[in-house]
Amino acid sequence: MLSLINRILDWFRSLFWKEEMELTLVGLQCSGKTTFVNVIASGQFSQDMIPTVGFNMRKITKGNVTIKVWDIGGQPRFRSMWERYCRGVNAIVYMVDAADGDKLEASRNELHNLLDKPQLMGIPVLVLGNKRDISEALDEKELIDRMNLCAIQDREICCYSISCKSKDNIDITLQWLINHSKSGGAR
Amino acid sequence: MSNDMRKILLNDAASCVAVHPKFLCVGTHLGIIRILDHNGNHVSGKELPVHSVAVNQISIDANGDHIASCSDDGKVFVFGLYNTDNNQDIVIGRLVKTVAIDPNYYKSGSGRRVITGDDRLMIHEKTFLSRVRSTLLVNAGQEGGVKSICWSPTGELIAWSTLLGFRVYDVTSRVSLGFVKWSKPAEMNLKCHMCWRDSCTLIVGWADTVRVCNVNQKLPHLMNPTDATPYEVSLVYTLAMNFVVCGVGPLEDSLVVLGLINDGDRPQLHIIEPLARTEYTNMLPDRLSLRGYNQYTSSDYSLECLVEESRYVIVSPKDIVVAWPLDTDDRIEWLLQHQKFETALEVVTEAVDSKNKPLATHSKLTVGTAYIDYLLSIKNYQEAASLCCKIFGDNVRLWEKEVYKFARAHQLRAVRRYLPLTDNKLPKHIYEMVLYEYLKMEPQGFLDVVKEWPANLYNIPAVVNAVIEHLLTTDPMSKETILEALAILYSLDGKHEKALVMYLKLRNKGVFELIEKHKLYDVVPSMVMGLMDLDVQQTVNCLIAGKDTINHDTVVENLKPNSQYLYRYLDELDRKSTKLAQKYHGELVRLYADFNREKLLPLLRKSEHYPIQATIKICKERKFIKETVHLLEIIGNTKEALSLITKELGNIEQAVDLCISRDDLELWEDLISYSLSTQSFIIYLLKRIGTYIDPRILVERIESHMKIPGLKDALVKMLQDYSLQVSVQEGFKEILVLDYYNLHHRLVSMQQRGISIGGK
Repeated sequence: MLSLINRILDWFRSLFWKEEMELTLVGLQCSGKTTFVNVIASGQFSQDMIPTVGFNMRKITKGNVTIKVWDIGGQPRFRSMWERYCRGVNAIVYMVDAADGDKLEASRNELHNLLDKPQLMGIPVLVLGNKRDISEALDEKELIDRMNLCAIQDREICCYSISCKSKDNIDITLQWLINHSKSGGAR
Repeated sequence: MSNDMRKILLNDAASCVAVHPKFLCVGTHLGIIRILDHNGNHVSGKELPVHSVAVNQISIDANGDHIASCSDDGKVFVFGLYNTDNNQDIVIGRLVKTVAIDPNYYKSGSGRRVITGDDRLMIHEKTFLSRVRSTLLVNAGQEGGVKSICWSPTGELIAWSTLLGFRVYDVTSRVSLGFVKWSKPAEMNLKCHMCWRDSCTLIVGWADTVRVCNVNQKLPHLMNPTDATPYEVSLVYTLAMNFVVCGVGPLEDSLVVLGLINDGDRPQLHIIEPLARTEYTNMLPDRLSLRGYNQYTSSDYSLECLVEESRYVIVSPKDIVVAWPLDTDDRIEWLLQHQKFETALEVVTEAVDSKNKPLATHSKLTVGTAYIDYLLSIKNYQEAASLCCKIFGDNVRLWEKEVYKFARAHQLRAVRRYLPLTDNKLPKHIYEMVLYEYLKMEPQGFLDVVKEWPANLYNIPAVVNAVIEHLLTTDPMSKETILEALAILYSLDGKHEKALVMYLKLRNKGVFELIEKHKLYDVVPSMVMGLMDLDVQQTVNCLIAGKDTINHDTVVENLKPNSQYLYRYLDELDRKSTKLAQKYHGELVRLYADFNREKLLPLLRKSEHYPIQATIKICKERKFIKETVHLLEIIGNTKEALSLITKELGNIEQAVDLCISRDDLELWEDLISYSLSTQSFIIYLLKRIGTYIDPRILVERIESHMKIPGLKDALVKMLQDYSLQVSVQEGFKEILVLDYYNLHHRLVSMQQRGISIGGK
């Protein structure tokens, strides 16, 4: 009986309070995008992930916010699709492997290329420097510098250093995302 | 479309496709539904083997959250792609040809409606507490069953068709809005293709005809109370084609029609622009070579479209092709691929300038870069370099990137002229790279560049080091040029002395300019010899210009070995500033004696700053009588001077003048004794002497028997002078006596004057 009441309550709540948001997760391959989705969805960290082919589509409910995530493959052949999946979303999450200095330049170029697209004008961007558990990983400041984020002036942009493995800063990331849902979440 | 799609179609065949902006769903003949991205990559975990026979139709809701599918196996499924909450399994038990999901299905409270079409048109919706209720809308059994259903974008209307015609149906008020009958009785196996351009325009393709309908919403005050629906349908265009329509879609104001003339032909893609009710123009049909086209009939093809993106998916059993209108981007892409760079650049410039359609992928920059790369590849460096300027303007980052390309080809020289020099300077190492290349390849160019570029563009010491290193290996031909450049570099760096040394080594007259420009007079004395070798006049000018700061001692010391130079210098210095030159008059005297006697005497007269004895010696050695005489006069050795004047110069006038000026009887006697041997002297003396001394001295000494022409006149003159002298003296005497008397007289009379004493 109690469960039924709970269900009805949930239903009501979902009717009135539910927030929806859509975000696209892009970044070079092996930066930890799919892992990040898993971590925010279920808290599960998995070391061995297979590279995403095409994209993954997930819906994650956090509190009263339902986040629809387009997790796009990061290999070069998928990068031309990034723009398509970023169109019309509430936020673009750009994942960077902060511990892989060699790929940083490529990552920077891809990000700037993506954000130059006229159809993505004004969409907020969250740059995540993943793998901060690794000692040589760059921190936010270095990342902002190396990714030349200061050059992006036409939109809201934010940068966090996170670790999916040690679940570091995942909470602030989620908070940022929720704040960027359609009506600004629980702001 | 390739990637995983190809694999899927290898073993199976596509029966239908549904498109969503983010993905596509492909239904196959084996009853499997697959979800792919727009490049044909399979989305993992999204493969739904649900039907037992071919999937007839797939429908996706507006948000891409749910898909509905139907099949001849009599089942209709609705799947949530993210969760299963709103899944539906509907068993109909008849051949379900078509299905349409409510575009708003994802919204809670939308009723989660799905419409299926077999013999009957049925709507299935969720009611309170998740029960599914199926309602029969229309029984179309007599019309040959429902052929196709299409939900309008807003979810209020559906269009559906049978073998007889098509209708628009208001789902909310459950009323049919009208029926458009096909003009000809139709064949069973044809498909009806329908597509909403927007919520009020419907495009229907059936057999060889394309129809366009408008659905208008009546304004509220025009509605009859009896009207069940505010919508009204009107047929706008009825366009007869000369082929069987296999799919329709909108393209802005035109239509895209997939057509097939005969079964087994290549399908064609037409762009139809309607003109009037039944007229149209058909632009450029495009024949598509789809795999296995010769085995298929019109019902095997279909066309799906993403209206907003003008993106079309042409479906055939073994091939799926994506088509989109060529926009400027595509045109540019094509031009680039065909190496028509110049045209591409024009097109892109025009597009950027006009600003009405933003280019998505290309920009002046991408095209320009491609063009430059091409020019580089065909080694047309000059052109490429000139283009750089146009393309990059003052974007430092791009310049830098591009310059490296030139560097790799060792063609930095080509780009040199175009590098930004004043505003928006590039990093220094870029300019240095250019310099190094010039240094290695073109010494003359190196020199020019060094002269031309402002010094703050590059790190001078670094370049200097490179130059020095290069000098070790360079051939002698270019050495001079490089040395000159090095000199300039030194002077730019403020190491003027090094620069001077370099110039001297080169014997380059630029050195004087350098000195003058930087007021380097201080360093001149130390290298004065070299400078003199280069150009005496200019060196002297320099020395004079810097006379106030220069250490003249050093100059003189350094110039000693070459008296010619020293002479030029001291002469000039004396002329310009006697004060400074005083010190060196002794030296100058010697030099004048050697090089310019004319100036010697004036100097001797003017100056007091030379050692007289040494000078006399010099003059005597060189037999400079006049000068010697002058000097002798100065030191008071008049005797010797007089003897020189009379003996060497034979100038009696001067001798007389000398005697007059000294007024020394002894000297006169000397003069007389010197003159006795020469008649003209005696005459002259006789004429002049009377005024100064007693002429008897002379006359007595004239030897008897000596023949003196003009003696009479001379004597007369002498006597006249003498008597004049005497009479003058007598006159003086008289005056004197007179004065004496006068004065005496006055004194006496003064003393004899009466003096009043006392009394008032």
